[in-house]
Amino acid sequence: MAGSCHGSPGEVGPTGLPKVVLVGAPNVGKSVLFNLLTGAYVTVSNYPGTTVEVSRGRGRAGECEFEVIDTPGMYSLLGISEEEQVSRRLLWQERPDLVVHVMEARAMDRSLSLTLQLLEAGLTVILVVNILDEARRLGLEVDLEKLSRRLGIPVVGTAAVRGQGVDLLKKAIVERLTGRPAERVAV
Amino acid sequence: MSLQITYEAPLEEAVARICELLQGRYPFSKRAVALLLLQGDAEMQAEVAATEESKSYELVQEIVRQTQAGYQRPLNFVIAQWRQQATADLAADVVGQQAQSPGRSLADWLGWLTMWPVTGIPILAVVLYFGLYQFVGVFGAGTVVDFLEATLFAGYINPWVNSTVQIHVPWMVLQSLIAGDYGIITLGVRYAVAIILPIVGSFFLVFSVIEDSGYLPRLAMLVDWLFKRIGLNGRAVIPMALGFGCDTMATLVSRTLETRREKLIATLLLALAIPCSAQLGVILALLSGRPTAMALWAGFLLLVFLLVGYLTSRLLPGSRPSFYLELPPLRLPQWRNVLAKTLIRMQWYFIEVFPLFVLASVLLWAGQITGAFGVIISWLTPVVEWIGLPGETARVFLFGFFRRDYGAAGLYDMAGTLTGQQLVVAAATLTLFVPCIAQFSMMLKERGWKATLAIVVFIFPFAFVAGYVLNLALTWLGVAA
Amino acid sequence: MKREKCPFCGYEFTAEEAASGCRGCSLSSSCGHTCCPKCGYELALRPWQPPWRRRGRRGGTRPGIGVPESTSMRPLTSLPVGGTGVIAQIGSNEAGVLQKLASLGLFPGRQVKVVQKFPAYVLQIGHILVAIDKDLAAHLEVDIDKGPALDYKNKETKMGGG
Repeated sequence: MAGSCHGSPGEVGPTGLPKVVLVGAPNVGKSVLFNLLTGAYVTVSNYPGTTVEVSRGRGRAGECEFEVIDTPGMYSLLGISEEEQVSRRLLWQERPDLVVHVMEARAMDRSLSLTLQLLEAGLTVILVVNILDEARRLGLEVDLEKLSRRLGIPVVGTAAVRGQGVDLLKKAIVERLTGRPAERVAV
Repeated sequence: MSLQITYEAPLEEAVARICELLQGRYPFSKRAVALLLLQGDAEMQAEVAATEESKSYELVQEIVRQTQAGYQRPLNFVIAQWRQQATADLAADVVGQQAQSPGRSLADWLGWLTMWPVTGIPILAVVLYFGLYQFVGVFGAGTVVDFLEATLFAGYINPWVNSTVQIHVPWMVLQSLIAGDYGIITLGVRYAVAIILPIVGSFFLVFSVIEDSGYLPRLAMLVDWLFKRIGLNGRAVIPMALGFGCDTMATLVSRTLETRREKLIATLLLALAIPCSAQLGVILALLSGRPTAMALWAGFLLLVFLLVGYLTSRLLPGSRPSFYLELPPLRLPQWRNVLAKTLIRMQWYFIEVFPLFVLASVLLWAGQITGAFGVIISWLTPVVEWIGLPGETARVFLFGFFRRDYGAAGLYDMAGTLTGQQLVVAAATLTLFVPCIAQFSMMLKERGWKATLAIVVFIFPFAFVAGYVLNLALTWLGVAA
Repeated sequence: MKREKCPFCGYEFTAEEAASGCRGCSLSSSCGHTCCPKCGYELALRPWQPPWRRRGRRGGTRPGIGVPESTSMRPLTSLPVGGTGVIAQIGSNEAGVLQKLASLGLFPGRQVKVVQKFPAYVLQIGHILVAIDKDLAAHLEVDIDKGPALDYKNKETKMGGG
């Protein structure tokens, strides 16, 4: 049932569904994840007053339905480019119920800076470490459980192109949206 | 509880003091708002100035000033660096570096080859040849257009529309609005669906593949050196490459460039020297049997592009643009993403540009009915003859004003009567000549009427003078195209 | 006034300017060497020596004072392709420049490797490649001897629950 999973007091969009916003640096596979989370009903529009494209779609996991918003690439809340400014504005104006921060292990030391900023802003965050397959090839091993412990938020490892870890992500999203105590999820 | 980092004492103190002053409700925590204010974020300043009483906002500004005074570096850097240290520590704790698997993957090798100028430039040529020439030019503008145009429209749709209109619409004037040589359906829709759709669609498909492969940032790095000479930076390669698809869309995208100066130069060059895919498709088809003519046309446009860019960058005041970009690894594009992007762009194209096609058809119809065309053509005829072309090409140039591709397509119809040299001169002049109506309106929207007027006033005479010079040069040199 | 040109970074300076770098050194008036005030490269004022000999003499040529820390510092643009160094300093205080470099992860303490110098500078930071133009690269000064200070470990960072 629509909205059945809405447990947090955040504002509800025109669709009446809780909002899940995907953020992260460019080229970390956000749009692949977006496609995997949403079905065929996706609308793409330019963010008001800009050329920057923002995709919205409807996601479903079990009994839970939610709106997924894909944002342009961003490195920091203090953006330089128009894309970054749009993403920041979107986080500010849309009052997301949940922010999914997507990053790759390759660039973790730089990308975690945005995670810290999102947490600073008081947003509810799930961290996704994507492209794990490529990271392993580079010899990088990420201790997702430890990262989750230190950050105090759920961390999910994925290889979205191969569809790996997407079920875990969906599970983590549902858990966060329903307000049940978030389990630590890792692969 | 989630992790919160603590900054050094003076910063924390400033944050605490600002948080106390903030009374409004914000979507972000007050701590984050305070930190963004310390970092001089303009949008946040406006947001807070609008929410808080002016007195407390002034106090906030005073705190920011005082805090900055205690540091040599700008606060945004101090804060970013502090956060970076925390991040590096965190990453070190959770990321382990094992021995790398030996050898490089194919993608790595290709990645290196695309960056090194000696191999990168030939690779660019290969990408352009197969992506642009073979796929967009030969397949999109050739095979698909031929099928839709000759088989579908000329064979079925146009005869049907013409006869239906003749039976059901009693007035000649209205008949010619819908059907006939300049009708909305027989010309406007036919051009849009049979010519533009396959060309633009195939271009957007190629562009999305290139975009998703991670090649564009490497290309940007490769051309940065050259682009600096024309007052742009490597990043401008994205709107410029997009311009070969649709100059209107590229003009829109040029706003992502950093400075006003760069935006202006990019807009001018897009309007002047970058042929859109519709025009490109027809011109490539027109010159396809004549390699010399095609080389002359392409070389001349490249020369104009660089020369005008260089001179403009010299004339326009402003600082040198800077180039900084992450180079992602080359990856195999995901077909689903590529298709989605292509469809989104085509959808945009049809919503934004298609209505203007219809408008152009109506204007052409009105021009024909009122006889205004005859007058304008009679003005244009001597100009056209001056650059060595037959008087009849004046009609082609007039059409080019309405849609770049109308003009090129008109030229296609008269190709048989022109010499190789005339073809080169006509194609080059037509490419340089004013942008189409859609691009013109986008320029007005993005750059304002002053800049647009200046650009158009420059381009109109420049196109013909350049055509004249080219004609003269070809005659002198005796190059047989 | 006679101007010296640093063979390493190409910076031109006067003897007076260079003398400020030698302050405090007891040998400064008689050692026959001077240091480039920009990159710290030590050059002999006379006799002239070919570049390959100069390289060999880097450091340790001043008895009694040890190797001055600055000798391993140089502009990033002076590194050869394949060379590595740790960013020691960013020679600009312009917020825009600093923000651009920071957005790519170019902070003091990060180790970078020069992958390519033309048409633009390509730097490897960890597993990431970034490209910057020469103007931006010129702001970076690197230490070629030091190990990375920011590259994981070694850094005490205050962390607290919140």
